[in-house]
Amino acid sequence: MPRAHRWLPGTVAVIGVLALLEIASRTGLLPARWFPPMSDVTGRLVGQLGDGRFWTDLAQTLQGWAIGLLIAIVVAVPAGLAIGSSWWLYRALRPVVEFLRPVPSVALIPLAILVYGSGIETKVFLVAFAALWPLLLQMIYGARDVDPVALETARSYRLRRGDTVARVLIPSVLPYLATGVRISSSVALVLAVTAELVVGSPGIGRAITEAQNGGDVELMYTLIAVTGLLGWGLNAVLRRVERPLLHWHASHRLEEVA
Amino acid sequence: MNRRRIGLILEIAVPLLVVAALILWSAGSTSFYFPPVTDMLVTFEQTWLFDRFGSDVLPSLYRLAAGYAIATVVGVAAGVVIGSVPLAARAAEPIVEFLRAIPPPALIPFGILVLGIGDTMKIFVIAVVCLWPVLLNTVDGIRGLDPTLTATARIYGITGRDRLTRVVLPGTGPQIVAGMRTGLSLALIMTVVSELVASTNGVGYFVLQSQRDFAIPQMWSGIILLGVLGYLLNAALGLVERRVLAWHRHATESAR
Amino acid sequence: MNTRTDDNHRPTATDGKRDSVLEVSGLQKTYGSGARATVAIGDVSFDVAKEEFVCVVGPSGCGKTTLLKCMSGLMTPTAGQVRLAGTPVDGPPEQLALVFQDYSRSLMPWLTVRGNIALPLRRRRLSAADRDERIREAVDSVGLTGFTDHYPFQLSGGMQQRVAIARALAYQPDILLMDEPFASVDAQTRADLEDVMLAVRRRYGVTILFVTHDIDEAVYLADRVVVLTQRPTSVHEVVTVDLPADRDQVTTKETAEFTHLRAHIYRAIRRPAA
Repeated sequence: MPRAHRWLPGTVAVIGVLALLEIASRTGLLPARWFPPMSDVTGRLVGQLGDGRFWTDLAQTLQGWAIGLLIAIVVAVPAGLAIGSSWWLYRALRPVVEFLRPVPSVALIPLAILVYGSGIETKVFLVAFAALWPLLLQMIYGARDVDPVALETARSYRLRRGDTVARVLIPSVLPYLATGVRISSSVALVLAVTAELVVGSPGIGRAITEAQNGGDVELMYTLIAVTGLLGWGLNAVLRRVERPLLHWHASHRLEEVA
Repeated sequence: MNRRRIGLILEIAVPLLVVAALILWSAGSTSFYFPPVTDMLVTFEQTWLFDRFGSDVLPSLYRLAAGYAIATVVGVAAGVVIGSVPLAARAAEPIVEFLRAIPPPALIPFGILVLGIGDTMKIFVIAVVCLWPVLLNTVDGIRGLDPTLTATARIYGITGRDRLTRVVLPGTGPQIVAGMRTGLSLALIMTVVSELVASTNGVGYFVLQSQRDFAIPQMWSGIILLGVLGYLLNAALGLVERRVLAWHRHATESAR
Repeated sequence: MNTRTDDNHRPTATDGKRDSVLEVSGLQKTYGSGARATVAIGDVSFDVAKEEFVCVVGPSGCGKTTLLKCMSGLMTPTAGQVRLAGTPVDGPPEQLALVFQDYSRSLMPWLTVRGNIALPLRRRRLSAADRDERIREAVDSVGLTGFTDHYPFQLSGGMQQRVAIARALAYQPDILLMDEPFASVDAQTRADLEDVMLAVRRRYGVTILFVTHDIDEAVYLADRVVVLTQRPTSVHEVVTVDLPADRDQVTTKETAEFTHLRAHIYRAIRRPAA
């Protein structure tokens, strides 16, 4: 199928849905009080781009996302590798990890408020805690998946330890790292926005609540759409970055949406 | 002693040791934020077994179950349709990708605006959020159905309802359950968040309220309850999966 | 009714008037179009008489599977026609069954042996007693008695293929198509399954078109062997197998006639297309 045809149905569907929504709220089929016309929302979105307040909010959301994700990476990658490559640690800690993993991280929100108040610390704590688990699990899988034959081959050729790490260990773990970072990134964004919504840390999430409370419905939809575009964009960027790393590997199958 | 036995002992002993260490370490705690673990457990017993079970746990479970059930039914139904029509899959892709990228809690202000702060709003946001993993996994499953299997159905004239219930849905089962697993943890998250934002009862509400009243052991007991709920719900789905997909587990095992 | 004795006199290609079940005339299949078009099947014509056992052999990659898909209505030919009992095929006909090479993927892994055999029978609207009787007879005749409540993953590859054969037999089609059905089983199992086919053929009086790449198998099983050329495929020759109907893996295969037919077909396949 030619390239143009691949994109056509999706484009038509997006335009169709937007047009339907526009017509529905213009004709009063959907109450305009709750569903403003799409053209107005789009107009607001463009308007926001020139608004300093919008960029500050966006930067604050991204700041919470980035710091929290970074902490998660710094903690989870060495921990996951250690647990995954040591038989003792793996057997000892697996049940603990299995038990803690399904605990909803949002349950810790009241605790975080109590300890850190409503500033950036709360946001970072929640983001880091939630983003930790998917990454930790991916690193454990990754370390356990290093091919024993490849390790023995390295030993039989008397590769130096540094070379073994660089040529055998890192290449086999890299795909898991990439997948883990991508999953953790979307979890991190969810928690950043949640902290802003629930706790009132500054950022896009708090701006959404304020717009809703203030009755500025158009702005509320605009900002919700921005979070969607942000999530989609971050995911697209990470996929882009990981593609050259993974072209030879099929570990995507192991992927779990967190 | 062989490694297998040592492994088993480790798996049982280490979690017990962790709990024991926590109890010992926190025993004399005078910290306001982290009271002794024994206090938390006593409060847990007093609060949840079963004083506030009916007033807070049941409303939360009801919202979770209703939203999750709606998401599963709609997700599988829409997934079967979209997955069976390649054009529909390509048309729906950008819309689904965008909607699913919205951080789920961002939908709560929208829900409050349109539906108020009652159960309807909570069930709605839970359902919307759980919908995507179920839908996307179902679509993947349908598109991944073995061509030999679908050709067999064509040859033997297995069509309509028989095709759906005896060929397509069982064949997609493993993927559907994978989507339901992701959806379940999202459902619990959304139940808690929606109760944190706007509610008059529920476990999430209880935890937040305890924190505001500085009833710290109560707050901790609620957090522990949410952890236990997450674990139990996940385990329950695992049991259902073992029963419904027994053939799949055996088939993949014997293929090894 | 299904048990009939074999009379050792079968219709052959030389008989003028025959009761054809399947007629393939001028079949052609081209993939793609324009400059990139590949002709998979050039021009294939042959027919299969009622209660006849016809094997189709040809060099590897000669489009046997494409041919089978066209005959079973899973694929539309570019030109020519397939007629089943006089009616043109334009989709899988109700009176046709197909046994795939890949048994592990054509059985429903979530259904028992009984469930797999019963599934196609639902459209036949049989009484419960009739249905159970058909299942029992089919299971018995492929030698799976006592395994009806097993799941496919509990059975060996050869036994799984027996289930697929039983499913086709219970369906009681006018014609049974088989696509290299024994290509993925070991040699001993293969010989057993060949004898199962001869037995059920006698018991059910079913018309069979059997595609294989194994010349021994073709000669051992068939009344006639259709030999195909390389791509673009056409019929090179139709060989009548004049061996007695009662065949045996050892004694039949040591007869001069068998060796001669086998060598003849082998040469025909190795010869480049004229």
